[in-house]
Amino acid sequence: MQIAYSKTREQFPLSHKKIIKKTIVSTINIINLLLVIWALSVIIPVLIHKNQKVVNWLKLPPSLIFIFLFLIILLIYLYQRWYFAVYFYDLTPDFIQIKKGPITPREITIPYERIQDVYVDQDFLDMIFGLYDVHLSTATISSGIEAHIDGLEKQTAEGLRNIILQAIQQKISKNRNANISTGSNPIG
Amino acid sequence: MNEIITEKNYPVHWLWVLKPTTLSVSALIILIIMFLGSNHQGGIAEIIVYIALLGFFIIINLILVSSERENFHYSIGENFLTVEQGIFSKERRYIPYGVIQNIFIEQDLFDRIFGLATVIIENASQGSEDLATLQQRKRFATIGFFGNKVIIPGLTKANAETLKGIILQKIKENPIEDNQSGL
Repeated sequence: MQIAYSKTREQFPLSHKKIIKKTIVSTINIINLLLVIWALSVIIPVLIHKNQKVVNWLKLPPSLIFIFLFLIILLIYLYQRWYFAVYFYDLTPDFIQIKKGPITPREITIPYERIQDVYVDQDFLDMIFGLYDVHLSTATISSGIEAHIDGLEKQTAEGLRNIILQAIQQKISKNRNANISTGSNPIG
Repeated sequence: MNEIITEKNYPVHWLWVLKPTTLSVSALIILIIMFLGSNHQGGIAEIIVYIALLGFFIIINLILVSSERENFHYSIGENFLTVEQGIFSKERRYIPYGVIQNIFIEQDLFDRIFGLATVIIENASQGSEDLATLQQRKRFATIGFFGNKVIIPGLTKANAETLKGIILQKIKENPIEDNQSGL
């Protein structure tokens, strides 16, 4: 699959382990959901018709269940590969751009000067896989939700963090210097 | 670029008007299928009432949404992004480019099918609304501004990209340090 490479992604690539990690997470979520649906569909008829015997309509042979599970995991894996491929992030001279979602894409563009903080974190599975997430946020709530680049190796995460911090620093001091030299800042 | 860009340059597509009703329209279709599929015994009258009610709501919704679209105006002026909205009570908001925090381009399933996109511009204010109204409107707002968002929906994908580019250029030309309050 064609990967949406940008200069930044070439320099600080996502780890392929991210696909595996996300496949595991989504599989667990979907199986949980299916279990809940199955449990409800068994319990509710029993509650309504009190005398009825429990009809276990899921009396499938184990081999079928395994095939079903395998199919689910395969589909999730393929989706995650697709998601991985279209994951786009780029540091342009003035803005940071992050775009993700193969089916319903969401793209955020942030000017460096508006970034309020940059932080790096790991969740439990990230720790097992040795992955890191780099989060950026501006003063808006949605940027906190949307603006993160996750699934980086330790070195790339640190490199990316440093380059973003550096860019912010440069931007701010450049603007400040420009103001001092032209005297255009009315406040001081 | 001195000319002022407005919704006339990058309009909200008329197809977008159908988007808020997609759910009720699909419900209507299911009801009609149920009606055709039923063996014309009891309950027909009930189904007809439901279909009529739903149809009525869809029409009202279409009228409301299209007049919302008619009354929605934005213009990218020299120093401010001006947005106007409101069918009965008119509101107008001026946003200095320097305080824009981030820009989103979003496409949901409807947008993908019809090749549309939504541009969302956010600053750090909560607008002039109190929190309760804000919570209420957050659920329904699909066009115009509320809270810290300005939503310009129903643009074609290419127009959305161009509009984003224009606004980003404006942000670049109006850095915040020149003018801390933005006013």
